[in-house]
Amino acid sequence: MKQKFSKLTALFKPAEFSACELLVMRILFALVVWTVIPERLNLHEQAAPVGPAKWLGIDFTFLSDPAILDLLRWALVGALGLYCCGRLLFVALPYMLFITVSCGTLINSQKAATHGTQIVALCVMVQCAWHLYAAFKHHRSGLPTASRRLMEGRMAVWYTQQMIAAAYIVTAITKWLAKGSWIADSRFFPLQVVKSQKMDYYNSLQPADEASGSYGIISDILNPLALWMEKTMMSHPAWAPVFLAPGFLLELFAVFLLAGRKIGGAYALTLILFHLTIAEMMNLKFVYHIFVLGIFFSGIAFWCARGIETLKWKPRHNQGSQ
Amino acid sequence: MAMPERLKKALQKARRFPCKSPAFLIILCICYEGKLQMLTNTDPLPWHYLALLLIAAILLFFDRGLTIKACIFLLIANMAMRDNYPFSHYPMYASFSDHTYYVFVAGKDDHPLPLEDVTNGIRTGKLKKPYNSDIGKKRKQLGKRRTRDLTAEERREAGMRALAQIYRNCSPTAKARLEKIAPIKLFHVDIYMKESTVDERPPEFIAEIDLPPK
Repeated sequence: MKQKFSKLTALFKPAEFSACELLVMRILFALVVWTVIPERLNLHEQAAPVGPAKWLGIDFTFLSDPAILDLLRWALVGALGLYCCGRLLFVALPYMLFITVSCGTLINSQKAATHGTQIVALCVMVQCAWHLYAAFKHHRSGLPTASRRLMEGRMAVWYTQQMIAAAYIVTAITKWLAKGSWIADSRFFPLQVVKSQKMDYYNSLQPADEASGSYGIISDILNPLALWMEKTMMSHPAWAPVFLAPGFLLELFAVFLLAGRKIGGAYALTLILFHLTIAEMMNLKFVYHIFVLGIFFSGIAFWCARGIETLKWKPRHNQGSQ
Repeated sequence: MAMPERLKKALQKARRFPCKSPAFLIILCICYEGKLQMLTNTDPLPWHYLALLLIAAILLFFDRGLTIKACIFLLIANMAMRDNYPFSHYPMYASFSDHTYYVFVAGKDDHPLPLEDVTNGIRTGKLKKPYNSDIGKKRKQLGKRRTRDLTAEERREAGMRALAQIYRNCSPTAKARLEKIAPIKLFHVDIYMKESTVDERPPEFIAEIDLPPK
């Protein structure tokens, strides 16, 4: 029993990413952070403050001033540049955290909470906490600079991966605690499909059939499956739990995202497929969830790094540490 | 006074027990199954639930060999902080019932407006959420069990507030556009599931506001 447990826990350890992979991950994640920050915020009140606006009483409406937001966005370019280079992370990450949390808090303080960008802000928060700790501790590690940077980068990704897994597990736990009969009650799910399609219709008064898919060719491929599921659930609501229970279980067991690169990668791709199908059916996009799963689990960074390495180029702190 | 041998052994066994904190969390979930109405997103949690989450967090320190401590800690943090940015317990679609509803905005002639186009980006979801939050408060205030039990009159104030908020959050060009078609009206459509079929009721007028609001 003890041996089996040790074997299982041995799977859950940080992956040994190369410096090139870490660089690709940082560049892609920097692009995600950049897209999370809106160009303009037209919110002049905090009708229902949440997070720092509630706990610390901070008024984030100053972000509605275009001049201030522009200035902060320019500063963000600098911070993201430092982040991509992997330098001065203890300066870059706190700034990235400040701007993502400020904008997110203001947007979510309008009595209309959205759940798209939290995952990005949490990933930034975790990386920020780790790099601040690492900056404070690094003089004690005794490792050469290149190896230390590589180790810190791997650990930052490991903690980010744990954050992403935690975000999925908590969604399943919320469903479990909210009513206790989520799977059985999901026979009423067709109502939610009708509701979201109708709400979507009243956004543009464009019939759903004429609306273009959210993800181009992927939407075209998934659309027939989503349509079939939707029709089956509408005509036989009793079948809805059969379609929805796997989604709930996928969220509940998201800890397997952390079980090594192969299992984690396969699990992430399944979650991405789950998000894409929901996007087709209900127009709930969750693009940032797809992005972070893609960046930190799917192996995109690995293949990009392979491509870069075939060009015989190596980031400086990769040399001597491999 | 020396510790009794039995207690010592029991404590040692407990210390060696793997994944204490995740096991404790599972027990917590089983005990609270269906007991927490997570739909009022930022309401404070019951103190006993928070205390148990704190115990789970403390147990984490004694979980030797657990390599995913950060995951468990962040899970506990998200459960405890609820919908307070950047944390979230992701309450959307957490419970289903045989009733739901949607809302839309219409112009003075009662014809629906393409809200996202007219307001330069505000979607109907942004209209429904504050409206839903306010009718939830009204329901509590009136001591009614379900929001569907509220009359159109009882929903009026929430409807007017939601419309006013949409107007306030519009860009100047969108505000001018809305003013031309004012008064804007909010309609509410109930959807029920009766004997495995979806039953959509006719739109019900809830509220209207003149623009700019007086």
